[in-house]
Amino acid sequence: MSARPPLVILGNPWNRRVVFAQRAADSLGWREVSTVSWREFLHDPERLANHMRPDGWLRIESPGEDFWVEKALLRLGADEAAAEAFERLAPEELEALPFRRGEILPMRQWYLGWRKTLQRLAHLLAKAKDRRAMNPPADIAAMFDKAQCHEILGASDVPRPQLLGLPESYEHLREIMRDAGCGRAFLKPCHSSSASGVVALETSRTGARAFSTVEMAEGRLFNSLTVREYRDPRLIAELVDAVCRQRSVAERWFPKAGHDGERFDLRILVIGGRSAHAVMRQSAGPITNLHLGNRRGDLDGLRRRMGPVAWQTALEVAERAAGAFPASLYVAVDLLVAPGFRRFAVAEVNAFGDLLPNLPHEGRDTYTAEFARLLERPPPAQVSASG
Amino acid sequence: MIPEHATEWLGYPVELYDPANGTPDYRNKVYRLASDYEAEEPLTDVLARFIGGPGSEETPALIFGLYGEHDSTPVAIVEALVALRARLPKLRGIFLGDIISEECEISWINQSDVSPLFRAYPNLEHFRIRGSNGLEFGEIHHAKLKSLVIESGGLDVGVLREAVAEDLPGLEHLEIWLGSDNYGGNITLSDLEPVLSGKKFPRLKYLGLRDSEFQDEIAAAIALAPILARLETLDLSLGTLTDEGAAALLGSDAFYGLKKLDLHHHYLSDDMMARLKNSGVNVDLSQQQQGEEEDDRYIAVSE
Repeated sequence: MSARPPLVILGNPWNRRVVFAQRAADSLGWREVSTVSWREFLHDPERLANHMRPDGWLRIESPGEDFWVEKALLRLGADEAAAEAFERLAPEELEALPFRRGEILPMRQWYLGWRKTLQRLAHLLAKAKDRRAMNPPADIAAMFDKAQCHEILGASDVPRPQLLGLPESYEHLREIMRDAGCGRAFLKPCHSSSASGVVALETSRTGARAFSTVEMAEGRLFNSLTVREYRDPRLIAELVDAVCRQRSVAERWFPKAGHDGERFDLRILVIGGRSAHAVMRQSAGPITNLHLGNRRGDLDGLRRRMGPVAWQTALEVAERAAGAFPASLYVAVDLLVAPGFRRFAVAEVNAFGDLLPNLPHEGRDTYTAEFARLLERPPPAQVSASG
Repeated sequence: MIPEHATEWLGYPVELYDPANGTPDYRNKVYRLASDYEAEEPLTDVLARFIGGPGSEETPALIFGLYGEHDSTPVAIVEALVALRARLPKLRGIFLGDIISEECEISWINQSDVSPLFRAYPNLEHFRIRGSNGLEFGEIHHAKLKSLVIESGGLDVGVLREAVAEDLPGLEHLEIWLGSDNYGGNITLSDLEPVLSGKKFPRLKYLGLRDSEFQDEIAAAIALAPILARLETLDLSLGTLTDEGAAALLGSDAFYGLKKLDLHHHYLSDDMMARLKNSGVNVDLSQQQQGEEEDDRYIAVSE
């Protein structure tokens, strides 16, 4: 067995993403693996530098599911956020902020802190030769900005749902929908993940209704695990206004195909430019994320029904989307399939979309496949998609 | 929810009409004509193009999907079909509104007065429509119509009253989705009396009273209704049927004369399912749902 380059995993150590990554590296005979927590890094970035070895690789994992880290990122974004008009919390409000399960905290401010953190990380990597990340920080930052992703994917001619704009309010959203002759739209916070804050909106001359996981309580927004329907025009306006204050993109609702009595989309993990693990996310409601009571569908059955040509096209679209981030070793693409299986659209590209347990592809889980690919063929020179 | 477009209708495979695929196979396929979700082309233009192809006079049936996105109604399509009646001499089936939930939820689909179609196409045998907002049947006298299907997420009693009062002596298949009171459904059991009494539609063989929130009451009423003895197929699927309704059916002699009973999407117990399976009637018991309390029981299609 050839020598494994030293590996550092930056993440929240008790999080299963990190555990799975460690386990995968271990299974490939990796010995020099160290883990640095986001807490440590945020305290003192140099700690990471001390762990990194020449010719080593850095694997950047999600900072999510740690309230301390979340608050730290919000704090880091506070100054920049103060210069913008989006929802934000002042530093003193942040200090007093208690943990409330499911609460949506200011996403733009969080992103600004996250981007700053990733910039520090990029800077640290650039300081010494031979320090490389499996996915460069700038790409990760870009994938956490849905408006920027529209530009990047558009430049690579990747089909996407039509971008209607970045509405400032419900009134503004209705206006841009009217101008586009569009009755149905998805409103997505630019910096959200896991469908947090997403609103599916249907409108007509006489009214509107919205589907969302967001619950409003005492002026706060919460993510729930169920999709609820809003029909009260006052509540819809309040909901959409609140989501717009997070900075959001509005897209024309791309109709999803159905199979086995429900609708679906595909999560396709592209590793080193090639599609690998794929999940069919089957859903009774308009929002397909699996944590919302949706389920993995019968992918083999779907593939048979789509036929080899349509399936191949789907994979190629996902690969093209990942190809817009050539310096990233792995990209998880959410692919929408239109009824009839002839048209496709990329709904999202995810930096941390590889948490797909119990889904072996060619005998390997997602993490093992990514590390194996790294050993076989490291990614090219790190020029990120966002420049 | 409605997850998919029809893939088969009246025994024909259904395909989306796409001019890029060349001349349609008018004789052997049924086409769905729909306005593309980003397309600018009105559906009437799509229909004109479809009719313009050689051999279009063979068209056995037509399905219409999305009319257009924003607040559109099929008024123009109804008018166009009426104007084109001489070009469609073999048309036997019209399905208006093959629209899936991802395109427009059923309770938001707009329809219009469809009575001109019945006057324009005296040889029409099958009429199916999804969505009941603005739907009107008016007064119809039609000797050839064999099947009438009204799919709704919440059917207004006015539409039902028109439908069951029509003069349709040849009607063999009647299917009505009642839907939810949350979405405009306001039919009560007594409104179904003209059908259940058997006075209307002497040739009826298939009765579907589907997608109902009072599916048990419907089952109990049908168990005692004169119509049951004449039916080959009873379809009480998509609703909130529980053991109560099924027990009423099993207590009726006429029930055992059915050839087929469709109950898919139901809230029956395993015991009751076993009793139905042993009844000698061919029963579809797929999609068993879980719902102990009444509030936990939902019909399949409403939104």
